[in-house]
Amino acid sequence: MTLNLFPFILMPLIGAALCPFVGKLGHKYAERLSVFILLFGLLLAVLNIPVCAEYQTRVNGMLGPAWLAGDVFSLFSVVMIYMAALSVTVFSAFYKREDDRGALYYALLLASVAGMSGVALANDFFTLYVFVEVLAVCSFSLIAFQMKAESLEGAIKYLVISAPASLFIISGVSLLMLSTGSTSFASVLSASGGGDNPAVIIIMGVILCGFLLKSGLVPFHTWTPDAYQSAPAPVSALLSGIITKMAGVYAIIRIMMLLRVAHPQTTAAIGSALMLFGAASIIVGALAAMYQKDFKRMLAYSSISQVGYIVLAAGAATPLALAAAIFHFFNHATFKLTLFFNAGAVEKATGTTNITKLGGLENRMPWTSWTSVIAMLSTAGIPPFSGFWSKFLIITALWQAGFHGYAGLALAASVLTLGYFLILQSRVFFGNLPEELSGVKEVRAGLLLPGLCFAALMVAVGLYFPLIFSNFVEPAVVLFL
Amino acid sequence: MSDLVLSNLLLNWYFVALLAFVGLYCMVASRNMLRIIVGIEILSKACILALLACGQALGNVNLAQTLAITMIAVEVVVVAVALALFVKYYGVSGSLDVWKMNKLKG
Amino acid sequence: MTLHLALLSALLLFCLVAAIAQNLLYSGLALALSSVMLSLLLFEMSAPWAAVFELSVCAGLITVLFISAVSFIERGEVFLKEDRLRFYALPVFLAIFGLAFWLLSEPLTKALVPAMPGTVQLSVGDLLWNFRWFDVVGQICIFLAGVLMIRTFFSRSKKDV
Repeated sequence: MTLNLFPFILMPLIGAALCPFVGKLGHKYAERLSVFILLFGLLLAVLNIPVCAEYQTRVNGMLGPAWLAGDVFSLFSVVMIYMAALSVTVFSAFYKREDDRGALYYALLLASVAGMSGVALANDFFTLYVFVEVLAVCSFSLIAFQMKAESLEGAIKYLVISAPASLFIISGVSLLMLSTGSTSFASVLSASGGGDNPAVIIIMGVILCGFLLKSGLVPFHTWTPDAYQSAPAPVSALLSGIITKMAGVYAIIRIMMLLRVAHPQTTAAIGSALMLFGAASIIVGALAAMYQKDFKRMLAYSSISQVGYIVLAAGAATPLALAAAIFHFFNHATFKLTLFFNAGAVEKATGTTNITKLGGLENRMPWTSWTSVIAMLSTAGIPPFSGFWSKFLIITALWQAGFHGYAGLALAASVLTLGYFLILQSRVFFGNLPEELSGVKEVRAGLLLPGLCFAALMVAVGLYFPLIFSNFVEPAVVLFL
Repeated sequence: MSDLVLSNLLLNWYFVALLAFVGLYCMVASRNMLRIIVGIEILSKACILALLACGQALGNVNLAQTLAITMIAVEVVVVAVALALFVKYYGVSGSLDVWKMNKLKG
Repeated sequence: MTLHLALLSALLLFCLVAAIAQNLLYSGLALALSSVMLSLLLFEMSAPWAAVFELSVCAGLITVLFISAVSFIERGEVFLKEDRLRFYALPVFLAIFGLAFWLLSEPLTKALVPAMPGTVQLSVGDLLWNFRWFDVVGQICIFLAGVLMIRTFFSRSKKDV
């Protein structure tokens, strides 16, 4: 029984092509079309999980036709993609004012979903490159959609870092082709079988450099705060929640998954470099976040920090560490989406994202405040929320693998995370309401709905963690062995 | 592997490295945004050369050609999008100076 | 062999000119010429498809796009006052880098051993349409995204953007 995952790319692609035409009938129809496609896709993906998990596949045993991966990680990524995109679409529907070009926005969103699904389903490094470029083009357009000078600036800064990164990836792919005769994932496993070929280190190193640039890790993070700050709130949410991660971190996790199986020494070498970058990102992100005056910019630095956690776990490359990295991937998507949605809600209600000008919104915007609190506590790793469990798994995995120093660092950084979020929460929501904001009211229900769903999800995942552990995490770990 | 193939490969890769250096230098040192595009283009040429050099050494030139064609198609879209962004930025802010892009700080 | 070397050197030379030229139009022209050189090089490497594509797309399409973008910009901006010294220093830095790379690339050359071409050689048509059809899907996606972007940026809407 083969699993055909191609519809996940085809549906949004067709939707993206149709949206501008449907939009001519009316702005609302384009929205409804995209919501419909994404909802359908999400249901399809979720229903496929039990089917996919039945297969006793090794992580490198890709299912389906030659160039479509079908393993659990891919399917899980597809679920995350659709979930994130659906929530952003719903949020955007209520956030944007009536706009002539609204249909193009939804079309771009669907195109980016198609690109991300392509990344998840790629079984080949070159295909990965092509779809990551699709994502890049969609991101530039989405960031700069409202064509303000700031947004264009953010998009340009992203472009200038992203283009050389792609070219690094291509150089790595050409070296891979030279060494093994083909560019697929499977060829990494067979590269000079058995022993540790120095070629593999060079090749993977070059390819990883490209992906590190794209994922916004330290010291390649300079574009991230600018891009997230200047994009409109739903776009920032999409970028931070899923696009940057699919474009960069997904590939990093895949590469570590592949290297682990065939080249233990290379894994150790590359893994330690990755852990260094991850640890640096955690610290720099957390420290820089404390000094920010803009809500979205602080969230951007927080993203850098959390992505550092994922890469730190991926670098350790033990089965538990990889499973923890994937779990954190999922959790981070939920928290960041909620937080960026709330930032958008605050911006819509008060007109500003400058923390120094905000305060005391707790009473006026209770729902926003509560979902923010839940998301922040979850990010900082406070029980009983889902974030606690993923951080716990990461720290445990690091400790078990012998990286005591890094485990301690991860733990200490959680305290920093809690610190800057408390600053944010107290400045924005607690405290006294300034004069100018006395007319502020809670935003419409539609804007709150995605945030509430994610908050409920965070609580549910946190409380039912033992169930999740035995049903999802353990099989994933077994898969990697 | 025959010596000739290997030395050819090395020669090609040497030039790939030189071209990549020129491209990166151009991107980093330029103040005018359009010159950044020139840098990206030079880097693309280096990559195409790299792909085909590897393909030739491998013997499977057709695979390398196919990849190169796809890559060129992808690059042209990226360059078109980049130019569109720059032209719009010029329209909105009146300048193409990279050093003047400092609205986002912190 | 010498033709190959000559073409490679010409390519490098034109790219240098493109990087250093002060006038962006000359840069564009040098870039087009370097594309032609690369195309000839690809022909010489027995990769005719890639050569033709490179010629038509890079030497043609991208140059046209570049020149039209330059024409949108006012004269004053095109000749932005840049620190010329940095650019004239490029050949010097390049020479230093080239020397260093030559001397230090021992480990690299040992590692880059080509694999044996075991599989049968498929033709380009076969490869593109059958073997790597997923890449073609990717190309479709990216063209769609590009078209959407151009429409987003340059559409004439009823309201003033």
